[in-house]
Amino acid sequence: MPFTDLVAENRVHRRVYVSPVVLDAERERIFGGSWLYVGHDSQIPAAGDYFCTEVAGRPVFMIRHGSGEVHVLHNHCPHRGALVAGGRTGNARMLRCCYHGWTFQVDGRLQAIPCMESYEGSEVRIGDPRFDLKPLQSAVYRGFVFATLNDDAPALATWLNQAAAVLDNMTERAPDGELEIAGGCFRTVQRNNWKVYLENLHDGMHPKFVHQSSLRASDRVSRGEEPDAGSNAALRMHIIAANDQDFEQMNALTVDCFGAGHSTMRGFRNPRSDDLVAREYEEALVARRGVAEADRILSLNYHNANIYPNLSVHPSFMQLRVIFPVSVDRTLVEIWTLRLKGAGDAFNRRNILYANTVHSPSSIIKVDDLEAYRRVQAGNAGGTEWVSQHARDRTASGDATGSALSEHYIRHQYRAWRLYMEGHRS
Amino acid sequence: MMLVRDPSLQADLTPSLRERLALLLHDESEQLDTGRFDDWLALFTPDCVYWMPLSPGQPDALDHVSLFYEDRLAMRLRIERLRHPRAHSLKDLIRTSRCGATPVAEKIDESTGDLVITRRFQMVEYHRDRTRLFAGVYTYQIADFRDDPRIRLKRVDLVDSAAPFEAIETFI
Repeated sequence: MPFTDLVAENRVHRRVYVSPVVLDAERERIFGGSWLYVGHDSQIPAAGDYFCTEVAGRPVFMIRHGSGEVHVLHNHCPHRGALVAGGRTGNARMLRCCYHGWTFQVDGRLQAIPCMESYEGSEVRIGDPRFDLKPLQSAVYRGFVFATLNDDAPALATWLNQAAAVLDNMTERAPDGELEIAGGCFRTVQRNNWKVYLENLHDGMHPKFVHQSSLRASDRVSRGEEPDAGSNAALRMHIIAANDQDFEQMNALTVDCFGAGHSTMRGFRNPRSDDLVAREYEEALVARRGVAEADRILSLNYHNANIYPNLSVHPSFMQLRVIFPVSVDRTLVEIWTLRLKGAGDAFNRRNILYANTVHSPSSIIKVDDLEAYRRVQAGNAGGTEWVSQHARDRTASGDATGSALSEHYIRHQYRAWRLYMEGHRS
Repeated sequence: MMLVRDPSLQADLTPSLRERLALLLHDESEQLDTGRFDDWLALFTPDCVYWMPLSPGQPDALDHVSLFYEDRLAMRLRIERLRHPRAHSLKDLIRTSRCGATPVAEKIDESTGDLVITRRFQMVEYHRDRTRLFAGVYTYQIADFRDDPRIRLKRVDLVDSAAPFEAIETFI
């Protein structure tokens, strides 16, 4: 069956979640055809700083050049293939392969080969790009570093489409106008296909069912003691209670789809709480941007945005979720927290508390999501052939707006999936 | 039963007090392994913290994410959830078994006057046909350790705290 026959207008064949052949093609055509988030340039502030990760299953690293530019290079020695940049992060004036000492400049150009006489008469020579660390096409948008394996990819800002406005807004929320990755990274292994995760992130139907256990637990606990307003305990309870909104409230939330599988969900929490810490933050923003600008920035209330296929951002609490397919039924998700430069410690610490509450592998909210994903994966391993995405807002348009009770954003993801899998490149 | 690192603590920690403290730590593990969560929580002070750092050497839980950073209220939330009939992932019970090395009374914490005790441990978890191993060091701060010892802090430093994890639903 051709890949595109696995996806119909309002349903998909279960094989998209469980076939290794499909996953291989997705790696090549979707992850290999789109832009992918690599990291944030605050992770490599100084010349020579590097950060190792993967792009479409290939080891890469981003590194800061002396000129300030960020390069994304394949972490693959052209000699015998070893990883050249070691560890997760590091700093190097030059990169020397640990195996036979081939040495590269931070922009990837081959600098030196020990025992060069061994190569006399061969095609190996310094200056031939075939023997450099191969660069990926990369671009930085507001500090967010993306790379692509697709030579024909459109300009990053074009490809980001309306997601660029979300990254703008996140960055502008920092009184100093800059964000930085801070406070560590959760790495969570999910027992589901990578698409199952993306398909849940604007799903306003699931919380009342999936999160019953944490909702009822918080009911029972809060009956005994009401935490002080503005306290960490109150914030934690508020985060849990947000999953208890009724369907009418969820239906009032807007999910916009655009570009190649991207989408945003408007916020359901009031992002402008009125406690001392939030007021201090708003004052800092007003001091830097003026009242009108600060109002404009803070009134844009995105709950989250999916930047298909490997990034979901969560602007109100400054979280990034980076998605790595490991196998058809294993997905690694890295969760990073951004610090708003110019905001007070107490305000930034709320984002750490949010990460702990929602994104830790121990989160009493998340563990029930993980169970739902696991069951979707296990169910789709066999069973009947097709699964449904019929809920609401069934339009043929590629760019659709619907509610958080609608599955239109999933259908939108599969429209992008089809285009990539048919060989369209971004 | 319990070793004492700091010689100045020798006088305070009489054999019977050492026995009492060792039993406290024993019960702390045993009540988790047998699912007696209310009894377990009663071993802690009202201002207690259960902390499992993410990164080795992580200095605090405020500016850095943690695998667990729970006050008493959050601990109660987790306990209530563990009991909830529709905690979907717990349809199959999680069973655990802990084994601890000899505890060591390390020092008095200067800011609180609490006794600091460390103990290496391993915990086997069985859930849905799968067995996982957790290992590392427990650090306890014991409040009012001479008269009415209770746990103010249980800190769990896993050897693999920075590794990718699937769901961790129970206290460790």
